[in-house]
Amino acid sequence: MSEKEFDLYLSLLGRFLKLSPNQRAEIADELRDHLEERLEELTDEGLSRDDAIRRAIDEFGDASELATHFTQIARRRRRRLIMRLTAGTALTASAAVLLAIFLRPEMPPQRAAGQLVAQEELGDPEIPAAEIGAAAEGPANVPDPLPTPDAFGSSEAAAQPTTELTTSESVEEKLKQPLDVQFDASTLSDALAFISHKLEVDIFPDWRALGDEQIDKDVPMTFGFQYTKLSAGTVLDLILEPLQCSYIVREGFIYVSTDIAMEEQEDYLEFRVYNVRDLLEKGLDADDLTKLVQFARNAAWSDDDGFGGMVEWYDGLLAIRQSQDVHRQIDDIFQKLRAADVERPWGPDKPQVTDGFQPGTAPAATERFQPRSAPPTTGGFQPRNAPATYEESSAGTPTSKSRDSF
Amino acid sequence: MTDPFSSQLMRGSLDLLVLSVFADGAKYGYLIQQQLRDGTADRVKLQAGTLYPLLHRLQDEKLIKSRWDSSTGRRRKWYELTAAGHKRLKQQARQWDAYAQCMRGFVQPILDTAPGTA
Repeated sequence: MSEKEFDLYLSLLGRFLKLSPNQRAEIADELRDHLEERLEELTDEGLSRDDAIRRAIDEFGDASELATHFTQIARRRRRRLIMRLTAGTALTASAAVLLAIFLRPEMPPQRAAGQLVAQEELGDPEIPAAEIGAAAEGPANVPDPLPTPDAFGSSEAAAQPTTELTTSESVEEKLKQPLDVQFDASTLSDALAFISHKLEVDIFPDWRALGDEQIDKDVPMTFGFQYTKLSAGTVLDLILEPLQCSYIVREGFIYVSTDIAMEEQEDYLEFRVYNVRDLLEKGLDADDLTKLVQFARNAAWSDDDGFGGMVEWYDGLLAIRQSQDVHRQIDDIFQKLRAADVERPWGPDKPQVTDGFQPGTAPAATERFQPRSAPPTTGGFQPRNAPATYEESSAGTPTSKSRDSF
Repeated sequence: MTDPFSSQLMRGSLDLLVLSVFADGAKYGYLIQQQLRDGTADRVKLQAGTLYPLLHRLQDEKLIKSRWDSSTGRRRKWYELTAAGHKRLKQQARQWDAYAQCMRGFVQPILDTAPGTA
């Protein structure tokens, strides 16, 4: 028995709550239970139904004020987290930027550098410049503990990292390999063990945090699926997302926990530097790229949301602090931009491409792309390609593109 | 003597008050409110709009934890003390008790003489 007035009050409250849909729904459920019980008690005391409803709602007070209280609690937690991170990452962040700048002469201008992860062990002074140059010659020199499947052979030099892979990066590489998956009423722990075995990477689920959310390792998962050739990372996402869990890659292993507990982890937000000079040279400007980056799913940004990640530009380098999940999406966006360019190159005089990326069409952008002479191919290249692939990636659906690009 | 305590007076001890309700096990919001009201002869009226944000904050501070349970026939959010919550409760209870004794030392003489002089 849910009263219409209660629903109205709770949906009003929900609109004021600056929280995730799940958090909003949980608060609404909890308060509805209270309202209904209070209503029962008050009518038992002899109040008319209408009076009882009004009184029960009045006791919660103004919806917007109540919402502010709830929102502030969630924000305070995130702010604490960010402050902790800021102190810890300031040093590594500046180190990463310095390192990226240091590496710059080694990188031919047309090549993207992949990205450098801000981790101390990355600053390996042992890599001679010659070796970096050699790695640039061909993909074969990129250290990869697993043989790359043929399907993954790629002509896109743009995606090749310039430095030695750190342990975390090699785990990230393994997560990109395709898996033949067949889960049929497996338990969560079976599923994770299977993936761990296939990747030859340890997966450590935080069973205690999972237990706090009533997720039992031995209870069969309610879904079974049978996909082929999904990347291991996507399979993990598919398993974990419905449970409101996620994973992060740490030094040489994969850590699984609930989204809530994950936000408490020191390394939840990670600092990475992306070299996008090649994209800038193609005519996309910093605003375009910043906007694209901020389209990522489930991403909170400190400027917009008061908590979460941040984006900074340093001379063609895009420095981003975000969760690993968002970094993966960002990586994917850039790769698709590059792949789209390989398929159908766009240059400074092919204005349609920018239109596709900028539905709002900033006047400054159009000026930059004055079509002096419209080449014959231009008419055929409606920006269908690039935006479409981007949309797929933002929906989290793996595309052949995303798998081929590595 | 049935006026509710002023919110000013209760402000500093609200957390302790709510934590102490959990001493004998898990509770849900409505039950907490009822127990506070009944246990104090209506003198502590913790408004729902104050209680729930407070519960969420205590949970955020990891002093209590919550779970959804339907075993009472109704799906409800139950809260109970964490280990840290038990510890905090003990510590705050001791502190509050010492404070109350100090206060009594000051106010008792007034109470003792008041009826006579009035």
